[in-house]
Amino acid sequence: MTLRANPYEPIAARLADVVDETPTIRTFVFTPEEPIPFVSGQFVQLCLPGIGEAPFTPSSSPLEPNRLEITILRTGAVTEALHRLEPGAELGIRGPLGKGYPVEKLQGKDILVVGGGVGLAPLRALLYHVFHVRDQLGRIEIKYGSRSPDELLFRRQYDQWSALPGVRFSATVDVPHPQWTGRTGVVTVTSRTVWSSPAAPASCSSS
Amino acid sequence: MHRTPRFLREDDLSALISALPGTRCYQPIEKPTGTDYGTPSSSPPSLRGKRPTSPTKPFFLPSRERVAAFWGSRDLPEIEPFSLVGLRNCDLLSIRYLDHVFLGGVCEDPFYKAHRAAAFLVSVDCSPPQESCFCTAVGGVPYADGGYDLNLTPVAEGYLVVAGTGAGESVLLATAALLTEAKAELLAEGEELRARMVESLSTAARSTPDPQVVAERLGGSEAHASWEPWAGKCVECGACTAVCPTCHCYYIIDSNDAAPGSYTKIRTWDSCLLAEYARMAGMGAKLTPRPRLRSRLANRVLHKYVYSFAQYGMCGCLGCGRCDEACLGAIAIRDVVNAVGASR
Ligand SMILES: Cc1cc2nc3c(=O)[nH]c(=O)nc-3n(C[C@H](O)[C@H](O)[C@H](O)COP(=O)(O)OP(=O)(O)OC[C@H]3O[C@@H](n4cnc5c(N)ncnc54)[C@H](O)[C@@H]3O)c2cc1C
Ligand code: SF4
Repeated sequence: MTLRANPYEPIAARLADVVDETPTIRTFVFTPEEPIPFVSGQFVQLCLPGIGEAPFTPSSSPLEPNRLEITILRTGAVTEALHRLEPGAELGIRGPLGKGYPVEKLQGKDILVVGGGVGLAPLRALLYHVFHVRDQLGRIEIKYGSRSPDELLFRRQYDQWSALPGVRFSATVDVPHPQWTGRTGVVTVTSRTVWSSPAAPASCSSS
Repeated sequence: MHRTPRFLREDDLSALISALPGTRCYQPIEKPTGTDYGTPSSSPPSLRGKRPTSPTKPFFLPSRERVAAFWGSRDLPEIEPFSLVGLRNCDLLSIRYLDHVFLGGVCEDPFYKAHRAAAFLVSVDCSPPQESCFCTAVGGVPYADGGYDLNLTPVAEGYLVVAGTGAGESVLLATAALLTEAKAELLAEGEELRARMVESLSTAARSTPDPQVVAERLGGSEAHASWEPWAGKCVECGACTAVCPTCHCYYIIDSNDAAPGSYTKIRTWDSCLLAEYARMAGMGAKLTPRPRLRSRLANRVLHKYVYSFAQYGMCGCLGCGRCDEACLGAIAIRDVVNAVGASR
């Protein structure tokens, strides 16, 4: 959670790769000229000189401060300009900012993660943390919803996540869709009843 | 710290001021537009009249300041030492408030910190009371009880001078030839002036109840209809936030003023009253959490009178009355607080 002595000063970073996620969302891979150690839930400001800066939460693992992935929805001035960038481009990153999730409080608890749409992007950093410490946690349930199937993020990873011991992942789409064979329903509703039994006995003491 | 005041003759004020640290010394001067800070070469400052029109905030948080460059030097700002004369207690309290904001959080603001460290503060007890002042209504007093390097209490023939810091003490040592022992009558005169000021301020009309009571009455009222008439008068100019000594919201823009193609980050003041404040991304119907002026105005007053207690343990309104004077819609914050409080 270190911050430069001048928190307004951007750290120069190079765009290493761009991955298409959905028609309007791309994941950008940045290599900053110095590590940006962050806690999941913290955010950074991406700075495009002369266009402006906007806040984004890394979607990559907090364990990899030398390589930040950020998943960005195209919606306005800064994000349009970001979507036009080609690998090799240089920009600035300020941060990390914000307080992050109190991840130490997860110890020994069952974890329910609920996200919708592009909202899974910032949560993925948390998921990487949760997976990393999963032998210190109870059950891990991830509920993800989106308006339509083509707006689902990180589809290539779902099988991998579900295969982890103690982890259950489900994706839902708000309303029935011809290309969707999975569950439908709004994720905030489908998440209301998750576990019928009480929390797993905690192996570590929780505070 | 040596806290017994010493006496300075009125004629020696300029000599004391020229002994203050720093290359620049800002003092209140009477101008056609009112008393305000300036750097006079000869004339003595105006310390017995009205408080300066401007708040002290621009000395620590300039309205426009370069805070970074692409890809600039890693240097932190260097600010030349300067002195600031004629601060009132409400000014000192506003500095305490801004210290909480910019130095008391998870990280320190290096720019604010540099301006702050460069400043030598000379405060003065208030006299006579002004129509716009209501510090006693928000729990303050019209004389300083800390936060200054030197404090001046005006008496008939001159000033009682006291140091509040080691830096202040050094100035008094260097100017020892100008200072004499303050006799008991002089000390009594100073005490009496303070008591008289408190009394006249407290009996002034349009006071608000105790700030804790106001906080309780106003708490949770943002959506209440009683804010509406005030929003009707407000023309959304943002003058109140500009002159407010504790308003501190800012916005950062990229500028290529210095050289085309090379960008710097400029921090400018922002105002929570403006519709664009807190504007979010996208094209949706709800681009800001407070689309109505009524709730923005309520939020501003509630920040001062309610949330500041929880955030910083002090009232965010110090009763200086600058917003009353500046408001194009003739809104007096005391009247707002009283009216909304009474309707609850
Ligand atoms: C903590 C946090 C984390 C986020 N994480 C992500 C993420 O991981 N992925 C993601 O896709 N999105 C994320 N967002 C949202 C993202 O920051 C916005 O989509 C982004 O700011 C849009 O910027 P833009 O310039 O493209 O949009 P625009 O709509 O062009 O501009 C957005 C901002 O520019 C300013 N602005 C625009 N027009 C004006 C005007 N006329 N006057 C004054 N100001 C104006 C406003 O401040 C406005 O909020 C996050 C937001 C926050 C707060
Ligand atoms: S000074 Fe008055 S009119 Fe202007 S924004 Fe403030 S309250 Fe509104």
